[in-house]
Amino acid sequence: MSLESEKEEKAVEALMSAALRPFEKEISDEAIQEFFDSDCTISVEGKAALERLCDDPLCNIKPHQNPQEPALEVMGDYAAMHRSLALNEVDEKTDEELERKRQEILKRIRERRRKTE
Amino acid sequence: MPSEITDETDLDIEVQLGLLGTDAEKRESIRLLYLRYRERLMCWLERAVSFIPVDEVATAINDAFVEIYTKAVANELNVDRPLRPLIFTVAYRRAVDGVRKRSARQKKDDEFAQEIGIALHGSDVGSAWRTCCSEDLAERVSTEFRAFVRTLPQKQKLVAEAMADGIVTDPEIVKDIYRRRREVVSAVEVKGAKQALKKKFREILNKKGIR
Repeated sequence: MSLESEKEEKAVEALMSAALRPFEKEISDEAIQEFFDSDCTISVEGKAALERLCDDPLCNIKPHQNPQEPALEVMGDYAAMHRSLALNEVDEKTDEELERKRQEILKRIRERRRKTE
Repeated sequence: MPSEITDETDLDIEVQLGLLGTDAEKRESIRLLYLRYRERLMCWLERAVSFIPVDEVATAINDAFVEIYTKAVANELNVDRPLRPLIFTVAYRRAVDGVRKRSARQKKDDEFAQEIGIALHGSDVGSAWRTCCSEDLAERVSTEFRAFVRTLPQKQKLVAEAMADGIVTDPEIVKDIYRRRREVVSAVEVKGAKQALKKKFREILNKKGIR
């Protein structure tokens, strides 16, 4: 192979390497949306690889113990001393109040999102 | 938190709320996000890093969600920002880290780019590339080539993985594959794989007007 053609071969290999290399980058939401809009079908091997793993990525991670959030079993008897219901039960009024608060928060988040869009 | 939410906007809101909540709520949010995105992440990463084995992609996806959970627990997660780019970026980095860890050369992106620039300097292909090159064209060439690599047999994918590290000779590729994957690929097989890769790559370049 002549020096000239060797140089050209190397140049093609260099471009090929660059095309294969996974460069460090941030993935934008636009790029993701473009991908979602394209025809993306998972491969049979890819699906099988995911199925070999647990459905919960945290299945091998112990629950985090937050000191601000006492464990239920410690709190159990103490917290339920004045209650007629079991620890995991709430009366109807409390349930309604919780749902009302929850809807309030959801509304706030929706409004904030609408403003930012 | 409902365990099955089909509407994407409602899921976003539920997940945002959950990530701000108790540990159990954070965990449930992560699980919902994982179930929602894992297949699309697999599909996307298979396209982005075409030579990586699927089991490694699956592990990278899993690890990405563990990382996001850890951030949520440490209150380092800004749930007001869209989660999707974060999930995809973390999963991509995990997959790329896995590839780089096995590399003997451990080249940084700028070192790599410099090496490519030197190889292109003074060549016809290099001049043609400089004339037509744009970020968009480079991305299209790369996407098409990676799609081809995905269709190759495993041994040829291993050659592609070694080549993604820069310019390497055939004997270096043989050694590199054994070091990375403990797989024996002969020099003849490497030569054949390189020829197949180059042939296809030239076709793509020609199609894009780079000769």
